Amino acid sequence: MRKKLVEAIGNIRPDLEIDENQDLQLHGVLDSLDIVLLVDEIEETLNITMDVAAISPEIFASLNTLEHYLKGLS
Amino acid sequence: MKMEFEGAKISGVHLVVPKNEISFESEIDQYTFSAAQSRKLKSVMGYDRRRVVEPGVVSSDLVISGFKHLIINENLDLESIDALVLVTQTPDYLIPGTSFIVHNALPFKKDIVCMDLNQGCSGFINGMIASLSLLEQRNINRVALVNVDVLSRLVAFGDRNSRPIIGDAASITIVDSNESSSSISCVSKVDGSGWDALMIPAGGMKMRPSDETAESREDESGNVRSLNDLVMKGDAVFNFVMKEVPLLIEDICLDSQLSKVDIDYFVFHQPNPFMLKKIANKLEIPLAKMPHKLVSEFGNSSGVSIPAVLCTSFERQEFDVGKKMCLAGFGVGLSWGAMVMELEKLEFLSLSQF
Repeated sequence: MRKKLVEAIGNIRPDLEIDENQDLQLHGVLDSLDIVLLVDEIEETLNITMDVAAISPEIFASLNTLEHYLKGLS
Repeated sequence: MKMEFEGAKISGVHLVVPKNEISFESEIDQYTFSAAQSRKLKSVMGYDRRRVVEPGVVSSDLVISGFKHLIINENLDLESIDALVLVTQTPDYLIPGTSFIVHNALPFKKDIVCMDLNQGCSGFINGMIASLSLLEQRNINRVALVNVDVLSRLVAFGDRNSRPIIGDAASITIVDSNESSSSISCVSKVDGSGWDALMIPAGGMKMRPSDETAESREDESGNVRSLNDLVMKGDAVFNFVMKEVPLLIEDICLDSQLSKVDIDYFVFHQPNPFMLKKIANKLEIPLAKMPHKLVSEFGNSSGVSIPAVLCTSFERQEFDVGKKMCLAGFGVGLSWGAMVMELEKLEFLSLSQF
């Protein structure tokens, strides 16, 4: 999942240098528009549906928090 | 707040859009999107084409043009109008209200109620509530509800979150007394703690416009705007809509004693296709029953978006047999509201350009 997640973030923000093996701070890096696009990209890549009403800013704080949340969905 | 109205109907809806069409591609250089982001924004958020007024065009220009169209093409008799309710966030002047400018420009009678309401994306629902309330007076039998906004004039060129999606438009909805019409259920809700989620900081009495307020600054997301421009806290608005709108729709269906399958169409305010698809998904409403692509063709026209969907997604004849409609608006305030009503035998459902 992590590899796909890194790919999804890279598709939305090609300017970010992402090391798959390290955590990446996303808080303050992704704006609301980025988050919308990332939700769509993740849903497409991982073939899941995210309940956006349940999404809090904490989920998008870093690569680790996002991965943790997505693992809970599957 | 739940409300129930009897003996009233919508007789016709007319939409006025500016002739001037702008494409996302033509403006892309003024934002800081990568090529990948731009492609995605087009498909997910519906950034594509929008209609905006030319410099100098004001709200009353669109409205007066719309009424003239109705007088000539639909035989609308302005003498028959007992009240003019004008909903806008972009008045021609701070004083007087724009309804008076419109009244002066056209042969309305003097024995009339004119009122202006400052409402955003819930403006059609709240305008309908005001119109239906006026119709409860014995002497008021016909209300012209006007929704109009030229918000493109108040969104900064460098606002990458809002500018690519904002459109201008006006609508005129004729609401009549009609004893045989079925009842109309309405719900209106407000959370004033979100008053600053969508706002223009300068221009009112709290902060008068000045050279200082006109100075542009870049925020952490790369949006360049001044205090004279519209500012939206995108994440706050997004979370509010996703949390409250599905509950609102469930509530109003319950109040109307209808199940969602009994509703023929769900016509909602049009922030962007992504949010509308998410709402449809949450409510398990088929997308075919929820028009969601207005933004890609005309832009988000705030309080005009619900009548704009009616005029661009449906043919008048579709309503020759009554259709159960669920209408919902949400935004500035924060406010959100919905109504369930039957639309039937419309005298007009039309569009003109200014």
